[in-house]
Amino acid sequence: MADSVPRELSKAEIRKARRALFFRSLRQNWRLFTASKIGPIGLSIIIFFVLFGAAHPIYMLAHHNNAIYDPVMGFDYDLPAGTNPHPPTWSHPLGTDALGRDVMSQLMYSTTRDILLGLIAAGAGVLIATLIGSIAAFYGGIVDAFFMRVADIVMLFPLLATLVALSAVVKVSLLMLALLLALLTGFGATAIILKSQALQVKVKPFVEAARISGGSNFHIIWSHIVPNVLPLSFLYMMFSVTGAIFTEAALAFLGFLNVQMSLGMIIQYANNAGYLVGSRLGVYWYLWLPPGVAISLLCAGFYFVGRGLDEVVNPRLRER
Amino acid sequence: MKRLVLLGLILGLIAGVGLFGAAANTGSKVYNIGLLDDITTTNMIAGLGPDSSTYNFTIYYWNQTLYTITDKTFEYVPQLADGMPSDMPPKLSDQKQPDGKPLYETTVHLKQGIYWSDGNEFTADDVVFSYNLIEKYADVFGGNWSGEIYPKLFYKIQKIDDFTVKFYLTSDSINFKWGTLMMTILPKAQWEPIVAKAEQGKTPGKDILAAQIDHPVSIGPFTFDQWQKGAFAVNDANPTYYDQGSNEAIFKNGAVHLTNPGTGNAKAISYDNTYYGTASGDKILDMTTGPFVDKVIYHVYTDQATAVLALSKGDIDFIENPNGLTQGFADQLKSANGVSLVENPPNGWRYLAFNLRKSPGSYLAYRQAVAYLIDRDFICNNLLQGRAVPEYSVIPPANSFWYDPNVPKLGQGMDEGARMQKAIDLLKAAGFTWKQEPIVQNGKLVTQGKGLIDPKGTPVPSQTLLCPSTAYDPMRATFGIWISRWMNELGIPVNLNLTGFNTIQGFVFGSGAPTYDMYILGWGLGNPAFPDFMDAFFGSENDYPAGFNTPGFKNEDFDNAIQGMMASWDQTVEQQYAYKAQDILAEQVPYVILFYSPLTEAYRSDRVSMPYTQVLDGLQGVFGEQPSVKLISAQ
Amino acid sequence: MLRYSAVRLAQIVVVLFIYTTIVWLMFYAMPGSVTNKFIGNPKIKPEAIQKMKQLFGLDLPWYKRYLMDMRNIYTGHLGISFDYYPRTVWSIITERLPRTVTLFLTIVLIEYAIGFYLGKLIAWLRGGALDYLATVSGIVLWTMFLPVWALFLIWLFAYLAGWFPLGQFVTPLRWLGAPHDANFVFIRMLATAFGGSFAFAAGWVTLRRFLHDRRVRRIAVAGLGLVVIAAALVLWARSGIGQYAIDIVWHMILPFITLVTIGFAGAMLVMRDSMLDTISEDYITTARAKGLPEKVIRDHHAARTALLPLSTGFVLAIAFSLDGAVITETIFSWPGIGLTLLHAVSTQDVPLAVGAYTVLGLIALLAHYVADILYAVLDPRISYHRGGA
Repeated sequence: MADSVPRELSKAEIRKARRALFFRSLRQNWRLFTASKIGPIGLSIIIFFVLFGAAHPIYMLAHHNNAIYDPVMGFDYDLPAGTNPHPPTWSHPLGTDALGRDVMSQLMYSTTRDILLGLIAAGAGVLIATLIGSIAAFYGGIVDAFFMRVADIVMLFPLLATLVALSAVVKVSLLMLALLLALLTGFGATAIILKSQALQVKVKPFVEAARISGGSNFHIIWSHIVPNVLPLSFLYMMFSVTGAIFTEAALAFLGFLNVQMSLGMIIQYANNAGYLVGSRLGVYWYLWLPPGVAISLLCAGFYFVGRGLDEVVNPRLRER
Repeated sequence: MKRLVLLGLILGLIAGVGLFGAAANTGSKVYNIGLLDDITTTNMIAGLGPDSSTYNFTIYYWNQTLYTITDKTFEYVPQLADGMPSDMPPKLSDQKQPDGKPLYETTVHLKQGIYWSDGNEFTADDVVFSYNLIEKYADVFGGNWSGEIYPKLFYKIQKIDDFTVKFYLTSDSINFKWGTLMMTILPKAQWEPIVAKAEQGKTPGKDILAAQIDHPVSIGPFTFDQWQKGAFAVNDANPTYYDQGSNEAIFKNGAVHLTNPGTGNAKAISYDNTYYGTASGDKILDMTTGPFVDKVIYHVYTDQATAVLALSKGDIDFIENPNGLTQGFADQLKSANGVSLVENPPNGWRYLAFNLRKSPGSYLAYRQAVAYLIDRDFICNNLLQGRAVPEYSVIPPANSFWYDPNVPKLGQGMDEGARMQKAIDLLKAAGFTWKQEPIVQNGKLVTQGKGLIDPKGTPVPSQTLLCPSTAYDPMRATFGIWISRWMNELGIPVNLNLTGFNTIQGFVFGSGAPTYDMYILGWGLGNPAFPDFMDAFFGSENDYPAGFNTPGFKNEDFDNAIQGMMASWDQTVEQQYAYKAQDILAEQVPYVILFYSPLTEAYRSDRVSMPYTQVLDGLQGVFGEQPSVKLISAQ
Repeated sequence: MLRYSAVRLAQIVVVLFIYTTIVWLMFYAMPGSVTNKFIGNPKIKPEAIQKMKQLFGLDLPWYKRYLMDMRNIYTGHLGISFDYYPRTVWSIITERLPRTVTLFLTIVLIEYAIGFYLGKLIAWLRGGALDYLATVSGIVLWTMFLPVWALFLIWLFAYLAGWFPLGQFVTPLRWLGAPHDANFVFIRMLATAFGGSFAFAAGWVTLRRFLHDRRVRRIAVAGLGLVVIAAALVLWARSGIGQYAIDIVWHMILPFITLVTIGFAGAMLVMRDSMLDTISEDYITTARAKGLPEKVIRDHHAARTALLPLSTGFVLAIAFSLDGAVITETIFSWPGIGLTLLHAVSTQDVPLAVGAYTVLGLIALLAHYVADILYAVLDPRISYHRGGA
């Protein structure tokens, strides 16, 4: 309106407006997400496994005698000696492994830990990549070149071999593995991709406006660039979770993971004891099929969520 | 349409290749052995030095030694030598060392009429050459070589005539018998030019190790044919093997009768010798040596599951695996037609080690208390279902000559309450106290112990137990988990650290005096014929950084027993001392010997027949008995 | 263009140097030593182990070792392995690398070919049942745990059916008394593949220049392809080592099936995404408006452009597959560079590990370089300014 003078909005009003916009776009994105049939399927898979893993304490409580069902040290004396691995029975829904431990308990226990591993590794990694990408895009020039060269070098490191090498120096628990994965992947390809996204954000008018109105560099990066890169970050985080879980399983299978229990370790125990050979694959299916299916479904679940998010983030992929 | 044609073409191509591939001719008279890793060199000096590995040894059938040990019973007998040395132990010599110190000497005669595979005759020249070469470069060659020649012991060797040599030694140590006289003899004709060339350079030792030996000259049952790196290696039967057709008869009364009619091939020699008694009565073994196969093909499989499938299918006849088959693989092979499983005790054991250099490991009561806590029967029979067998002595029970059946077995047969009580009593008697004392009532632990305090009043700090993780060895890991639990119940604060072998070894055998608290590892023991490893592991002079005496055990009685054993050349006397030594170890427990896991192995009994299948360390210890295995009916 | 290439090459050298230094530092910081494998052997005395450490140069001060190792790497033979003493690292790598490269080059190539074809199809038929089916089954296969899938296929096709060998890359009986080692054959197979592709590409470019009628050109190109293949076959048949090559190919089939089934989805989805991006471009709408048949638009316009990121992805995939190859190499008994690298790292054979890292790093850098050049060459819209990254 030509004759009304725009007044300065108070900080509180700005925040309220921001929040309203945030929730509205959230609802919008949710609708887009559910419209892609594949996204909700992935989400339901993940939710199922989260609940499945969270049910472990309940499972342990349901069997009053905890010691038998401990995933690492359990042993059932009621089973006749020499019958481990024992096929599924009512008291052991997925049977026992070669050392007499309840497989269902192991599965539940490991599921939670693997999901956490994936989320932490992917989350931390993508966080690093987002920050690097945004900073590199914002400052450009030598900062940009430096980070891109760092990314080049980090990408050269063969992942599995480097993890094995590092496990000789640090004690690799699942948490440490997650952090190492975050470092090795966060500085690499994802940073480059997020940087190009940040470049696109940087040239948008509102960033220019923020700079003119005197925002500090930190403020611009943190409050403007990063939030607009985040949707893409979140997308890549989903794909990274798949990679993290797979890497854990591969490391465990090769015998280089020194944790007591995880999805990959369940399969490793079975392989070490020699139950993954020939017709044993059929007879002792309960030693490898449950963890294998869990790994596959979890990875697929996160991937589907990623694809669902893809349609939210990338408008060109949506149905017309 | 186009796509279908393309698809059909591709499938046809694959089928064609498949048919072609499957049509490989099945060779007759071939013994197929599966290896779980590739061999690394055909240069035997390197192969017995820095490159020593089980898989290299599996194919090294080109060498012989002056003396060797018999099959199954490990008696000391001549191989290339003719008869025993003139003086055992070596006698004081007239000659002396330059500084006046004494020398000892003994004469060895060589068998005559033996030829190398290159046509040269085996003479004293080869023997003198070999010993001089190894003496000169034992340091550089390293590996097994220095443990054979004992550079400080060996003074010189002298050729008396073409088939007689004389050894001069700095002492009459028994290492001469079990080390020096069992050293590999190298073919002079092949190695002399190589050594001469190497000595023109700046690093002769390294150059000798680096020499490419494509066709090693052989004096043994096989000659080397080819090595397809990463895939397979082949040995051919040696047509001029001197011992073809020989017979080894071992009697229950201890006698050994070695004969060779000399008709095995054109170059076979004849002899008839008996040792250690009269050749009469029941036999333990009656074995003829061939080889009875034309070729041995060593297939490299990098995955044990695939090797097991190959054995099951018949692609290979035997798998060379120092660890034996695990449960599931044995299970799979049980149901395979034509495959036989054998079980044997290994020459080795797994153990828990203390550190006697500091508290609380320095207290005998502490060590014994922990030893009593460990219920081996529970873990071995219940948890591990017989895949592990409890062991108490450093000498494997299967080594019947050296094993003392009356060795103390702390805690055997006791139930949980009794063990805990005994441990509490031992600690209390030695002056240990607790912040909270463990209490046993009616045979059960009702109050857990907390905060053990040593007799000097210092609280025992948290003890780190280094143990191979479940990924490396589920059996040891299981022991580690339960031992740390039991110790914590007793009130000893234990922190279990499950990790890899490399890490543990780095800690324990690193530079400087070991600072570990406790660790669990295992040993493969050396020569079963003479347990001098006890000296290496527990003799007080072997307590130095990176030495084998990791606990820092210094016990005068033990040292006396061991030195008595090493100084005597009389087997009965040696046996008495060996009994005493292992008893002391079982009481003093610097190591708590935990268990051994029986070696389960498999071979195709429908295709090959082995002269014997029961032996300490299993078929893998004798590498599948290649010189004497017979093929059953051609394919 | 030339300037860009030169700048990139210089960058590669610098990056490689920094990379090898970091790798060396990483190994230097590790506790334990390669002589650990001898510790379990009571026959080898501690003094002997000490002497071995001297032999390997492990007792030198760090700066001397660094200079020695770096010099070894950059003067070619990459040092002498500890574990396989005294074989040079270079001889070990050149023995193992061709196997892995041959196997994985073939696998990645076919994966991307299938991925290209399927991705093109399902992107075009957006949202149909085929799209759904292909994506879901592709992902299901992709997330399968490789070791179990491999062991299962080995059991099924090699053990029960007996159509394929139980792993390994040669059949010993066929190679008894072979005049050459397997490496010889592998290298020649790779040479044939590269030479043939190069000849075909050169011929195709020439034909494009001189033949303008599309139909004639298509027949000529097909003919060229047949000629190249026939020439290769004749060359091999007359070389005397043809049977060995076929034996190797027979051993490649099972690992090939295992990995392609798992991996094709990756390429397919990348192609799908890039196609979808291309389809929404204006010139596709224009082509449609012009009335061109769907198939022509799809194959000649959309797919060609969408091929760009796929081809660079292909080049990079080859470089990255060499690290993840270790599981395949283990289960199928193809001792290759992946297994060598992992074995060297876990036994702390520092020269071999650093050498393998260097070689893999160099391959990856060259792959990036080729990918960049390829992208610049293929996409006329891109031009590289000074300082671009």
